[in-house]
Amino acid sequence: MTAEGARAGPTFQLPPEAYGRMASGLRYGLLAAGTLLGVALLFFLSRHSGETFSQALQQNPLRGYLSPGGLGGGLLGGHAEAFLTLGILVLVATPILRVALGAYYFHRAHDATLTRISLTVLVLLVVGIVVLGPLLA
Amino acid sequence: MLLWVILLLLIAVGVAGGLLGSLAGLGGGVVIVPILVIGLGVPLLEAIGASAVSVLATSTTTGAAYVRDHITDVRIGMFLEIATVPGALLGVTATLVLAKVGLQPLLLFILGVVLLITVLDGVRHRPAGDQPVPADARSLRLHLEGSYLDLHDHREVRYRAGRTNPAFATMFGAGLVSGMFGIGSGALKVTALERFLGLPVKVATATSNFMIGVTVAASSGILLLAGAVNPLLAAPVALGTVTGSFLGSRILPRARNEILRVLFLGAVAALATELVLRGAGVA
Repeated sequence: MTAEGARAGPTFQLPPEAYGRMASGLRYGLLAAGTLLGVALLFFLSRHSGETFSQALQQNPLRGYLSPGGLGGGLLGGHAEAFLTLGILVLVATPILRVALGAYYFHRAHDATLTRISLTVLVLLVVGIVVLGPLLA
Repeated sequence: MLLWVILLLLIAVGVAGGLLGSLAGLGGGVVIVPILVIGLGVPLLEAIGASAVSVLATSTTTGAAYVRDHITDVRIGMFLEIATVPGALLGVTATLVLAKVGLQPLLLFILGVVLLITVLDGVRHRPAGDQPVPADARSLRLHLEGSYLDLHDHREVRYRAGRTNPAFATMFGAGLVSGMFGIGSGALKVTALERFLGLPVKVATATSNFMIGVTVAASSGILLLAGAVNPLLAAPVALGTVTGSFLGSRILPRARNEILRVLFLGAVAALATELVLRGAGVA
């Protein structure tokens, strides 16, 4: 902390409601992901109760559900594996949504520099995942 | 062994990782990967995938509370994510490429060394933050300053960040390590925020946690699409880690014990040494 910091004038932080919305977004995202993962795991277990761990580990159950079509079909068909995939996707998407919320609130606060910074982080995340993920599969 | 027995064991590993990780202040990732690899014989890539998902869940849990309490500096966190996210993208790419060309032993060796360095950093008693740091042109231009209400001292604490260049470089390194091994790299992030930027300890810890979520989301997303996240590992470990971290945050501040902390660091050091030896082809 600097001496100047101790005498700092107005701060350049987000409005209080932005903190509340971001915290709620993180909490609800985690709750949704946790519920999906917990229920889907129990469902998966009930259908594969006699399987050994090495058998289950050899065939990653997500493989068929990583495309939008595969995931949609699996969810509609009530496949536990599709719900497990959705749970992990929601977990990954939650912090990304937080960055998008940050960009929105910085924009609303007319803070062009931080809006650009937030959007840059968002683009890096989305492009990085969408491009590098399938490329490295 | 039957699937449900192992799933219960994985939940227990997650609970232990989250609980002990919060006790030592290192996070759960540093114990989860070595336990999965050494203890349960899980392939390294899938252990990294499971750890990344569990670190993501933990940082989201604790991150939400810090943001709600206005301790997190969203402005500084967002600025430094420009460094951590490319670092994580590069790190996870390096891991997937090295694994693909059959260099898992090298990854094990590097992971062991990273964990040993983390343990050494945890053993060292660093002076508390709040050290005066000169503001630089970038921190002034971006208004990297803020305040928070210290409930312990009942006063508003104001701060202004400085030395953004070394902080930025350290954050890139933290992102790289995080992406490579599915760990939070919280120790490196707190170092950058506290020592270089000169943020108060509480703000540094909260902002580091805030950034871990986004950094690990980048690597988790890629690992997921690359097929390296197995939900049968990731889901129970993540559920266990969140539970363990929650218990740790509630119970351990009262039970914090230096001997217990040193014992835990010793256990992580032993696991790290085993990884180094395996990587070197000795074990």
